[in-house]
Amino acid sequence: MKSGGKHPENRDLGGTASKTATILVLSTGLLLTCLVALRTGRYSLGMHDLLAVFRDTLSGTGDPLLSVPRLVVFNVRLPRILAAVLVGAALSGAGACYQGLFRNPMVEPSLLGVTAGAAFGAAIGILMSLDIALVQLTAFLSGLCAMAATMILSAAVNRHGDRTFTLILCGIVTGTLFSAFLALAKYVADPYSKLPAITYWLMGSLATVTIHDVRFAAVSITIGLVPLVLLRWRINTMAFGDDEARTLGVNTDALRVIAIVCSTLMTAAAVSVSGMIGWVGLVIPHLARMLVGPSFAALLPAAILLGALFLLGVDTLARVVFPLEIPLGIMTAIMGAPVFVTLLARGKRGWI
Amino acid sequence: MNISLVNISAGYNGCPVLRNISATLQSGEVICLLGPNGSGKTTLFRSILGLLPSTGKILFDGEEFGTADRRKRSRMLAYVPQAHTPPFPFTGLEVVLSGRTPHIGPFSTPSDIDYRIAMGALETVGAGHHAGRAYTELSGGERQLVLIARALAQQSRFLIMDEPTSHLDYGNQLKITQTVRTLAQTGMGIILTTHTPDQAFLCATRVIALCRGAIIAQGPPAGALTEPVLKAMYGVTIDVVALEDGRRVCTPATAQEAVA
Repeated sequence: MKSGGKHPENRDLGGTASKTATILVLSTGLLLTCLVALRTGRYSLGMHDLLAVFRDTLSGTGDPLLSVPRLVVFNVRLPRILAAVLVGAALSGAGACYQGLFRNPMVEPSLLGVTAGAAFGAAIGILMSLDIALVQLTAFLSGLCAMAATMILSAAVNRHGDRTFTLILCGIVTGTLFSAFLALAKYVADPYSKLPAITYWLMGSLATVTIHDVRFAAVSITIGLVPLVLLRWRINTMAFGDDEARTLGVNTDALRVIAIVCSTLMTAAAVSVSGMIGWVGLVIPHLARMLVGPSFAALLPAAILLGALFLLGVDTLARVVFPLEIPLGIMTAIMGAPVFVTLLARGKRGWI
Repeated sequence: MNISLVNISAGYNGCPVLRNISATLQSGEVICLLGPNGSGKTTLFRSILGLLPSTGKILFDGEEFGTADRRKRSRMLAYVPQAHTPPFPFTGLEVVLSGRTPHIGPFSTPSDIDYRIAMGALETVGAGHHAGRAYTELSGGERQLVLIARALAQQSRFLIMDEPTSHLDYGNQLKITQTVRTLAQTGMGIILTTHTPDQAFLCATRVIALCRGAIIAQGPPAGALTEPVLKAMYGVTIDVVALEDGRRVCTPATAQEAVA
């Protein structure tokens, strides 16, 4: 940053080079972690085996000697790794967007009732003994419904007041309402079969992820992510408040709706594949802000990469370290807490 | 270039705050908007900025902007809010850079040129050394300078400043009024509010005195800011004293009367 000196021509006063470097390091780290995750697990694979499997698949030989490693790589590990990367990226990216939009570092993607809605949808799906793919769909749709309810409610209630504030309050209303519905669903659920299934779903896990789930999540998350990436400079101005953003020529009402719909789409897709995974959407954007600063243009890519890296790391640990696999939602909270506290204590810039 | 207000009325929830305001702001002018709390200064600003619906006409060089012309308006008119604390520690340069938004396409990010303009704006107000510092760690006066730099980076012809000297110590107040005068000399039209009538004598070319939503006096400071006008606005008797060199200052008539 100092290299700019007295020459305003030198663009690096904005620290662009160091931000780009950070993002490159994160991308490399993510790729390496993917490789490590592919190799480790109950069925250990060497680098040599991995290469053999990929070469075999690419050439289409179908060597029978490689059928077990091939099954492990393509049916078990790869879907799970991709799911962890997608879910982590989606939750963290949506969290970063929400925090900027609502000008509040304590906000997370569940703010507008999406997660509560998705949880209720999943519970209904399980109660109706639906196929796992359909449970995902009900969770996804119910999450989107909760968000829509929040938006409609806030549009109906709001007159000339602070739009952000009304939106948050309406989010609390919807969230509480859907939590109550969820409790009702659990109350009437068969305590020997359905109730454990609902509870297990709520803990969050990627253990049963299939390539089909990954495809669904990848499509929805990309649809949500692309507008956010494109509009990242506009979204940045929202952190200064509505009035200022409007005097800077930004159509705040339209931008807010686009950003919320996109973030919600990502969150709902992530939650419907993985179940409830807390912390990522709250903590990882903070970490990203410590690395690249609060400007959304750099924050969004950093948050996405860091979220993917974190969730993949935690999920890999979850399936490797303990003899009994710990649900991911529990692992993220247990591992997230000390990480967050350490960073808070070491952070130099107050509320980063 | 000019901004003219023709019969502006505005209010909140059907309750009128401003009634039939007409005024014109020319390039190179500094208009000081004075008035007691609740007289409608902020409402007038919000109307001009297009943040609040109003009746009447607001003409930018004869052209009227609807709510859809937000970007056009933002290239014409920049807003300097009161120094505030954003929730995130943007650097000074990042805050200034946000002023480039009207010139950046919806899907783009700032280019090298935008960075250069932002840095130049910071240096114009003498705040170049705040570029890399966290805005949240700057003092009130430094923040106000950064916000002015942001408005300059916006490269609009007119500036609206909402109490630019509030919360500042006396030295910083004078620094800001000096900056305002310098900017007007470069051809910008500036309209600002203040609660200190003395500042009108220091930097304004014209004064608009607002009371209960209507203009009660308008003109050059020496002519418009008379003792009756000040009394009507603030409800206390204030003497306007001319110094030997022609400068004018305000002072309460007597301590007792000011209290009564």
